[in-house]
Amino acid sequence: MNQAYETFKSLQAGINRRTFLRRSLSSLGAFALADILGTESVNAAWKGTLGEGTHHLPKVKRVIHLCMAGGPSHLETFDYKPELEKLHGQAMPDSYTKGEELAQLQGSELKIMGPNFGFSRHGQSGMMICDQFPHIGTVADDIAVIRSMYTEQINHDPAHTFFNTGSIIPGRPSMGAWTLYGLGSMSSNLPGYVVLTSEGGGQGQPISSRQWHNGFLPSKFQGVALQSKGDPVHYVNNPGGVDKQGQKDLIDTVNSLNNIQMAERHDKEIAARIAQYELAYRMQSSVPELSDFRGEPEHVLDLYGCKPGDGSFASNCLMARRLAERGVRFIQLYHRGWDHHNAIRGSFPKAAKLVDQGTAALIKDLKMRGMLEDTLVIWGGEFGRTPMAQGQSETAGRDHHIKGFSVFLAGGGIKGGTVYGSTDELGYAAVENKTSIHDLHMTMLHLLGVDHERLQFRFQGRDFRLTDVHGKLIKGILA
Amino acid sequence: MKLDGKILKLLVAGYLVLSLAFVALAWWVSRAELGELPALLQVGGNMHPLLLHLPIGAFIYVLVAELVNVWMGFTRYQWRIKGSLPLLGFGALSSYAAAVVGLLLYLQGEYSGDLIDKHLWWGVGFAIASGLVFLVALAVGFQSLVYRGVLFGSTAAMMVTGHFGGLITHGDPLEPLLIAAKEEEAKSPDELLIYEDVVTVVLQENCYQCHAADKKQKSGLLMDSYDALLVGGDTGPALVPGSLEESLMSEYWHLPEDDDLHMPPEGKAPLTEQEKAFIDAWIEAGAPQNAKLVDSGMDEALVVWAIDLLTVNAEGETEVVQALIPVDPKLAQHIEQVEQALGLSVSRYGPQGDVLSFTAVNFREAMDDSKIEQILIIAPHLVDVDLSQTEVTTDGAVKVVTSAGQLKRLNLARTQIDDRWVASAVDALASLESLNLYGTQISSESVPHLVRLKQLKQLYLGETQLSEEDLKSIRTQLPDTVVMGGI
Repeated sequence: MNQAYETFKSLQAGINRRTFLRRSLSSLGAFALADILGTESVNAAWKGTLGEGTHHLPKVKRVIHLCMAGGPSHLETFDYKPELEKLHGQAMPDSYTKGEELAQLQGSELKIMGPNFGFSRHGQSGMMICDQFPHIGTVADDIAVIRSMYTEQINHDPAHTFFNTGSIIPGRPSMGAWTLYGLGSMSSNLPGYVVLTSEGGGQGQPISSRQWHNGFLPSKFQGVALQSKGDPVHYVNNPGGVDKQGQKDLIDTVNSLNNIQMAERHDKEIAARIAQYELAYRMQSSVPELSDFRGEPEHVLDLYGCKPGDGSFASNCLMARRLAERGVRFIQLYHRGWDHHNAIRGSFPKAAKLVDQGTAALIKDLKMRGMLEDTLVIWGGEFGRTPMAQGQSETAGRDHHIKGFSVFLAGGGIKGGTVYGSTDELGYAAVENKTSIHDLHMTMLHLLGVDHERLQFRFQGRDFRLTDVHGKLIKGILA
Repeated sequence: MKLDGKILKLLVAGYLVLSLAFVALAWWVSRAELGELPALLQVGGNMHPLLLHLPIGAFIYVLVAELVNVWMGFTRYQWRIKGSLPLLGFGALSSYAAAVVGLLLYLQGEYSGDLIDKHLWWGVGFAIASGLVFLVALAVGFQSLVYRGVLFGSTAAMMVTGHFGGLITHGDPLEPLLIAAKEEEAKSPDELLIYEDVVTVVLQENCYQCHAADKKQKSGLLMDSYDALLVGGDTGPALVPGSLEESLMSEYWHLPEDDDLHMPPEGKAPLTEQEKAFIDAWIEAGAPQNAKLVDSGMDEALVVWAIDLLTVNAEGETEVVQALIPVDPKLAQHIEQVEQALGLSVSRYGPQGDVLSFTAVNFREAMDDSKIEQILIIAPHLVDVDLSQTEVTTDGAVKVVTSAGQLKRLNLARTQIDDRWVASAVDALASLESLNLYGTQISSESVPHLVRLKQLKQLYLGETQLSEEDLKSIRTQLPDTVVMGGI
């Protein structure tokens, strides 16, 4: 089905088409979109370009992306390299690094750094996971690790941009925006794409809100960042002297004015503005309910190991489950704390501790509630880290590394307990089943019922896709 | 007034050379690459409609005067209207001027077809003939039959030129008669084609004047054929099937009337709301070229409107049309009905969009047994139903499973259902792959029923009244099922 046609349908925002036309006939002179839009709209949410049918049957309805911002070392998470341990302290063979692009290590003496922490086998699959992640170890049979990821950008922001948009050029839509554009939101009371951030355990590199931007897609598909600490949304209550009805009247009036303008021009941005006003109004009641954690029993809070709303990654994980339960389609949690250029031995365990329990709790909680089977969980950073040490032995860390790193996926359609692909003996470059970010995007869309080649948006004379001209299905991790 | 023979010869020679040069110019223009002209030349071209009326006035006066003189010749009166060389000279000069700016207008490239070529050559002919009339009057005087002959000849050429020009700009004056004749052979409503019989009529009425072959091709756009709409004009395609936003004709006629780009332009009647709604709906539906009006799935109100537009005798016809509208319930309408009643809740899967998922996530508190009726209309298509955390009880949940024969996933987590539901629903769940009873009140009474669901892949029983023993027993009896307990 044609995208632009669907886009137009979005302008009608849930209005019954038959009503629309019946009215247009009964009030021949007074035909105006304004009559029908807004006041009676069932919802401001949009069903997406695939609202009349996905390309194929989906395995999952929603995505939770646990972004380990900063780039966690694959060599201390999921990619166990005994060879590296043996060669610890020796010079990195030239054959690996000659002519290679390095970040901060460019031009320095390259010495191998063995894994800083032990690994052990977990689950029935016997997956090797770093001992710093005891909780993730308990869900080993639910996750599929890809050890052969590679990316194109060696610095944080462009690497995030690439991971989110499939392009290193800022300004393209993020994968969450693409997902909403294709499938629409399932929630009429909350944004379809929500972002939460947390930090700790290492250098907290900043994350630009551009990472969850809609790019050239209509702006209602952008991610909405909620506060991790305290109230998720500031000023969500009406100011003194304004009651619910007064607020509703205000929103309705503003929207009816916007509708007049929209009746004259097919402007997606006006539709977005109207939808945002309506959504904001509904969020005045949905957000307090969302952040009311009183209904969460003690054993659930213990599972996550957090105090709700304390700004921690674990609290964000609990929030992610609550968002998912309420129909939010795409959720991103960024934990900023993995940029371990130095003192990896001291700070990596801190970051791991902050993330480990929440991650595992989220997977277990979703699974217990029957939600893991229609959710895709993606865990990983924007890149990995070098097998070479950066700095002196005691305070050494690892530099940015793009030729090989690990991510894991869990949820609907994913074959749990799988290890897919591998890097070379020193964990330098992906060698077997090399997997690109595009492949990850393609597989994500595939699980959502979307053919990545057919989810397109024409902009400046060109049809754009999340996967550009790339993207292979990562069959090896699918159930 | 008599002229010196030498001067006359010179004049004739000059006239012949000029005429030849003018024909050559016209010949070059008629074959020139059309396109952007310098602004000044464009202004010149735009003067054509003004200048062309000057020779018409002059020559009509001279013609009428000469006809009066002819008439007078048959009477006994000697009175004659005097010929006027200045007037003839003015007529001739203005006809040359009109012809030259006419060539400039032609070069702007907004016109195409046979008509414009005919107009061009007749116009060139008239200009040359008007010069001849002046020359003859100068050489042999107004009394000569030769003068009378060239005068009548050139005014005839002027009228032919004017006729073609008028056809291009103002359309055929006989058109009302032609349309009336066409209407008499109107098709019956069920034979009408959306594009050929409705869309073209609307476009013809509103757009062809400036955008049709044999008329004008303003902004490079022709609208008189389906392919021409797809090709579009200078700013893009007029029609992109399925895409209102990209179909510039729709965009332009939806603009505010005071917008410079609004079409039809200022001074012409805009399209009526029904005309816009009809063509918009057609474009939305993919702009099928040969679809019939009545089985197109187009909204019935628009179909009725279109047929009223086309049939001479609207009375009685509407009833016929309504009988022709298929009354088959349509999935899309049913989904709309459900969402009208309940809220955003239905997702359509697969290329046909006929595999449905329902979720009450947006109206959990309002969702109770009385609302279940509302979703039964789409039940046969449902594969995935999420009623978690709603007020639905055993009765409502039984209704869902007995009508949704293809159900693969059912989520009743934290609803009010109890053991009675399990007992009565189990037999209706033959295709179920995932059953979510997390947080419900079911107890060990349900165990013997649950274990009959051998085909289940996932069964969620956390936070229920079931004991660890119960879960153990279910797990042994359902070896192929993942049975999730609490944490």
